[in-house]
Amino acid sequence: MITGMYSAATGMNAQQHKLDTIANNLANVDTTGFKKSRNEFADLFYVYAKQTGSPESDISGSEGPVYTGLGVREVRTTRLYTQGNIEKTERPLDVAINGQGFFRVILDNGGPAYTRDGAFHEKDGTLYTSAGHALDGVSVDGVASVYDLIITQDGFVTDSAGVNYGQIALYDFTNPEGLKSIGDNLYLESDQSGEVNALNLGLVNTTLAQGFLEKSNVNAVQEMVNMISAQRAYELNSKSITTADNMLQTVNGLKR
Amino acid sequence: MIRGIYTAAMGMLAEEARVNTTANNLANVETAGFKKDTLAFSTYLKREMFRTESLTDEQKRYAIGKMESGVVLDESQTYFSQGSIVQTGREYDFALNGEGFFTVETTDGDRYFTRNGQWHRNHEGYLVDGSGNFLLTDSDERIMITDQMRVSSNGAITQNGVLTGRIAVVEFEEQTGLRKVGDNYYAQTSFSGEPGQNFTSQVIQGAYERANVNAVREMLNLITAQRHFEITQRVITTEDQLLDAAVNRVGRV
Repeated sequence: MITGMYSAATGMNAQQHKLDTIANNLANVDTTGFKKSRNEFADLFYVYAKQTGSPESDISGSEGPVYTGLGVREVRTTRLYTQGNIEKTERPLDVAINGQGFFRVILDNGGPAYTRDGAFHEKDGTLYTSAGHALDGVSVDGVASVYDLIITQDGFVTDSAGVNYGQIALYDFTNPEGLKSIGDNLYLESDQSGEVNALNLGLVNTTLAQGFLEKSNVNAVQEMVNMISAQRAYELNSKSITTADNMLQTVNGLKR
Repeated sequence: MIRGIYTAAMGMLAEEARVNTTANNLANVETAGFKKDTLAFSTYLKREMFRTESLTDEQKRYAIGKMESGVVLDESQTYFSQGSIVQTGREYDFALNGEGFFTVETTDGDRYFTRNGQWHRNHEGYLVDGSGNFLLTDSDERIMITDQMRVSSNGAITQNGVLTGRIAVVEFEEQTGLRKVGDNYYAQTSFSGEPGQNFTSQVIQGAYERANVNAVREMLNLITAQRHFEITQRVITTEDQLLDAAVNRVGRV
């Protein structure tokens, strides 16, 4: 009965993590380019035991056919890079990625980071994200007005006079789900993501859309349903614990 | 009278085991592809009781019925019913509809079987599960992802229009003989037999299978376990009172 209590505690822990993830998803329901996460669970190991005196089993080894599972563990949290809805803003420096890939920005320490957030702002000829990180590869120095800028589907930045200001490059990874999130809508390359590779926008099925923003891919209804099921599962596990507790109390009642 | 105490105690132990199993089922209510466990109990030391007419004559024994001395756990059984399938639209989520299993190879070369349908692409481009072990094709190869993949209901993988393999979905003659080893894996045993080619299960891309744990049934298990536990406790305290009477009051005038 004690093991049952601990199994139930792992279950409550798992549901709590799930709720944390759902809360974060919902908090970012309006965050540009945000990608939702989900938790993945697996059962913990099993103890194969047998009560003394019960008949010998045919399963090889000393282990009998009676086993007890020891609960659940969280295997990983997976970020889901499905496409978010694209919303029309008509702002010239809003760029949505339709398809795979990430923008590359330069962090304060000079290293690269990647983002799907395409709400840029111009300052002294450089494009910055809302969080203040400079977009790599493009300088619009000398442009008369940002309202004059044209960004093509392939990322070329020009103005109405035909002056070329470079190309917004997109980058992709073998395993985007392995990217490391560092907040501010930014992701870092990691061992799990694999090497970064530049996308050739002429070849892949990805386009850029000027005057549009990619919204988060969080579906509020789905998250609410997940929240309800997580809460109920949490309660169910707490019932295992109270049952075990009541039984312990009953045991205490054995001796008057 | 003393024997009754032990018989009742065995009943309490059995209910304790039932709560342990139920707690594990409930803890895994959100584990993809998890299959719940149930316990089978059997009677313990069933034997004939005799009435002896004479202490000297062996022949004068009459059977008066059978007596069982409690209950023991016979075995744990995994209940392999289909779990509900949830749509995600994710490229690497595969649900199995039917009795089959995916085949997984660990980095050590061990083979396990799983119903878990949440797969990932690792940094080398291989399709792996949450623990980093490899999904195998029916020709025992790992699956390399080079392009967007489509998986048809028979497990055939198409990448960029080219057929690149088929996900191995195997079935066992006696799937209840499989052994749970944790991490959503099952190991084959002499009971389960060798994994065989599957013809009945469907692979559904963009969805995964949930646990087949039924909350109502598990709550019923908890209630019956607790009440049965209390009843058998009452049996023990009653026997204890009888003993008390026998020890402390018999012989007192």
